[in-house]
Amino acid sequence: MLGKGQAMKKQILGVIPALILSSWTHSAVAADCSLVKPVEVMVDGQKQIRYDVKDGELLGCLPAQPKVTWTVNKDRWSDQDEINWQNFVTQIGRARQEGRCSTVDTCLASSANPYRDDFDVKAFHFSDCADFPMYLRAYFAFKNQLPFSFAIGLKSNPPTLEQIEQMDQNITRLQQAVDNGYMQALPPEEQAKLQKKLDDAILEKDKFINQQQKPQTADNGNQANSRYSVVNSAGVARDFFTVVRQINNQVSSGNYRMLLTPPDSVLPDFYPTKVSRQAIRTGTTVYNPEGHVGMVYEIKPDGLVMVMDAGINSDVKVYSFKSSDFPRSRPQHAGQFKNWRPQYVENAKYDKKGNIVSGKTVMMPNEQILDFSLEQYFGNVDLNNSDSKQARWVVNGKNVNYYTYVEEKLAERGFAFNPVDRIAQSTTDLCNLLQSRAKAINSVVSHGINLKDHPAMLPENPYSTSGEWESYAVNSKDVNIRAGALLIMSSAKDYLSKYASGDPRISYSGDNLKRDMIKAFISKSASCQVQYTNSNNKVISMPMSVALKRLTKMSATPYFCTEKIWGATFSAEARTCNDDSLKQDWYKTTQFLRNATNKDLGAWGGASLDELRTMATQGKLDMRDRSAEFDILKRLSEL
Amino acid sequence: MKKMTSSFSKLKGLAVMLTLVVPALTWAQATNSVMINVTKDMIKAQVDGSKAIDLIAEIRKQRPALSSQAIELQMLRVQAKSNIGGAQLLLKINNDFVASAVVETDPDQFSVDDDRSYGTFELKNIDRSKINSASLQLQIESNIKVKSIEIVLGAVQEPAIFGRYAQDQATVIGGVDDSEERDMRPTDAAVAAIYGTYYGNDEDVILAQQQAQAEAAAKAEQERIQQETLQRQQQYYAELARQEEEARLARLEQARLEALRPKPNYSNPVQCVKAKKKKTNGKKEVCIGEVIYGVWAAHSPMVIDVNAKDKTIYLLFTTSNQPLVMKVDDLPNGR
Repeated sequence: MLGKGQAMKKQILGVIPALILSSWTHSAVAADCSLVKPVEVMVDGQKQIRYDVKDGELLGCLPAQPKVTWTVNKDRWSDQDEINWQNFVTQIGRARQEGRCSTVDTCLASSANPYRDDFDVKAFHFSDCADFPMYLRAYFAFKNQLPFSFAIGLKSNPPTLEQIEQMDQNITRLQQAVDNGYMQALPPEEQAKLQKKLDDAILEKDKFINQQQKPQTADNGNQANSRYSVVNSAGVARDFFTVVRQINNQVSSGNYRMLLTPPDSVLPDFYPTKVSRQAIRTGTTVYNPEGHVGMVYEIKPDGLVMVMDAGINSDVKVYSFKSSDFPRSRPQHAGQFKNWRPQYVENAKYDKKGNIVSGKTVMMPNEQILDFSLEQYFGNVDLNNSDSKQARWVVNGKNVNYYTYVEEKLAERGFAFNPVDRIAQSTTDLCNLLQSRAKAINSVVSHGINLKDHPAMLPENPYSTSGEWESYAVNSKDVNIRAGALLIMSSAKDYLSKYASGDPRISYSGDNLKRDMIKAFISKSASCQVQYTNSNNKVISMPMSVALKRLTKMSATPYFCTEKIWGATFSAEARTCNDDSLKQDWYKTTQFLRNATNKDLGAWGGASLDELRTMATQGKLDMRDRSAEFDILKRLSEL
Repeated sequence: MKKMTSSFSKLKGLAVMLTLVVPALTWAQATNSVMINVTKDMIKAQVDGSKAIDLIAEIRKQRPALSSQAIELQMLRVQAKSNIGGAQLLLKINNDFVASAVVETDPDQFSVDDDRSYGTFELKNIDRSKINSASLQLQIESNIKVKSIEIVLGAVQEPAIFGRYAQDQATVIGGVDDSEERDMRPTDAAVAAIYGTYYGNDEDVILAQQQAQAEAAAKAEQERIQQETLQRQQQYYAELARQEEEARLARLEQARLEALRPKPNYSNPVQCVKAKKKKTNGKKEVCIGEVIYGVWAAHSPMVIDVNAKDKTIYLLFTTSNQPLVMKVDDLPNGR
């Protein structure tokens, strides 16, 4: 808020420096339809010719997709439909796990899909991370002639009074800084920077109170304006690809960022679920408020939740549910496990064939859903608790953290887990993450992004931005890889602790747990390698163990040569890199990004190279060589 | 298990003693190593497509005496180097991976034929199980050259646990857990409180929007005033500047004219010319340098030259560079 005195002062001080806007100016990549052509892909271990589209922007380049009307002959999903849905999701997840398919398209074209028919031979399926659960659910509903609906037209939820006050205080503080800057006659660029911060804060407040925050990162989550329904009151018939293109265009991770909605407003697609084996099941979605969505495809008897997701290029990957992939956040971000909200068609009108031609899609409210619960945010001790900071999770009389609670509640009664298997699974997950990174970098190269100039500034938030950086940078992936590596070590320590204390959840019959965990890690890393194409178009193969050694050297920035993106250590490897001295400076100065193990933002968001240099000199950035922290084998040996 | 381990150690100690006393009876593995100079044909493709060197076969080739003994493989020291991308060495015993080493050496040295270009990598066996098979597996074989393998024989050291891990209380499994059947839906009061705590309400937002609008309007008004002030200031200073410029140009012009203006010709030996009658100066003589007053309204020209022969005078007015030439007698007479 601008104080009267300050406003006067500003007026008296005269000329306002030009507003320097440092918005991220890279626009989305123009569709290059030459990239869309049939290629050989592996489906069920056999070569098939299918389109290989790596970017949603290119969907418009595809030939016309088969036009099949989505008929609906049931007004709601039956219990059997839900069971069939779960089986379908499990089949797709396992097919991916077994390497029988690798993308949304190849998985739906594979024998894992029980609904595969001629339609799928002609069609091309594509979805990114937020669309993936919605796409599969829509596909299943289409094939089973079921109703389907999803929320559209999102607006962010309004701020609380406390948040408004905080924003006002921040604006006042920034205004004072601007005024002091004038009084102290700071250099124009310093003054411009202060002014920009002030303008950004005012703009952010405007967006918040006018409910126009970006849905993917909205502070208090979102609410929807309306729904897009296959059965609708107007009786408009829809075909499958018309619907899924709407999903491609309209659905974002913001659709999952909804916990509670105002009375009488459009209900969200999902509801937060109770933590139990009955409630969290195959097909349940898992939302990471940092901007990613997965879907449960299997829950092992020991409580390990297997998740699959799709990348921005429609690549599907599978991994186990972990805190590093799904960190907790504020309740209004509505993270963690969410089930599909039951829906039904009201006042359904049928044609002669028994198909519903019109009706109103109604979503079931929370209070009518038996496994609706807020225990993931407010604990399981007191159902009256409304303070997430007071959340406690107690299982069998013992206080545990949220992740242990989930694991223990999802384990079959009395079932214990083998820590050696867990380490093996985590190592496999880490391998999958590295291979997913390799695919993303191949996309960088095929689009020539690595040859472009480095932008003049970092994005405000490299983990959630727009344009090229969002499409091609692997900042989030790299943070997950580093966090995943650290988690292997901390989990091993935790397992040793549990084993030593005789925890009955540990099922291990060997004579040296530490040895066997090390062996499990080595065994899984022995079969994992990644490949990249260097600047001379030579394919470089690298064992997972080498890649792990380079974790703090590998750059997530897509504007560097691939040698830097893969952390070339020796000059023999780096010499094929043609990056100019400016890019080299960027690489050196962004070591702090390569050290990051979480997505916390600092003052460096939106910073220029000069600003980063200054911050580095002032010790405000973590520029240390932290590669030793990721030497998993050594650290496991030291436990 | 601990007792068994202890007994095993004692037996092993006894075996070592016997070895020292009767060297011919048993071969002292603990003090020996086997060196293998690796050749290409030692590296064999495995069923899974990987490449490996059969260590047991190589040991027995070099030490036939060990053929009948159980081998204790403590560690490998491998001389190796790698090309771009590196490689991994893996010690596989009884089909289990028990040790690994990352090989990432200077790729510029990969093709150099020099023993010094190799690095030494240690792979310590951490499993003391009886060895039936042992191999050195090469991950990304095309990226690695192995020169030699030193197989250190002897007792295996399994990993020890260095931290303290027995502080947590064990969770009791199998106890009564009713939450599976329990309704975990929050109470209405909790939902209302959560909504009130974590979400803004319309009134607050409307107030904030109004406040923001008022602030925006105030800011716009300030900017308008400031803009107006700036414009006025600009106009004022522009006028001042224009006037100054005008004056400056006038001064320059004046100076230019001054420079061009003829000066009284004091070098003329004839300084005065005589008229028939008295002129306005009260004299008949009109001289160079003299200013003529009272003849022209608002002008007082100066006499800058004279010609005595034809009684001509040259008068310079401030308004012209060219002197007015006239007969002295044509000047109006004085009173």
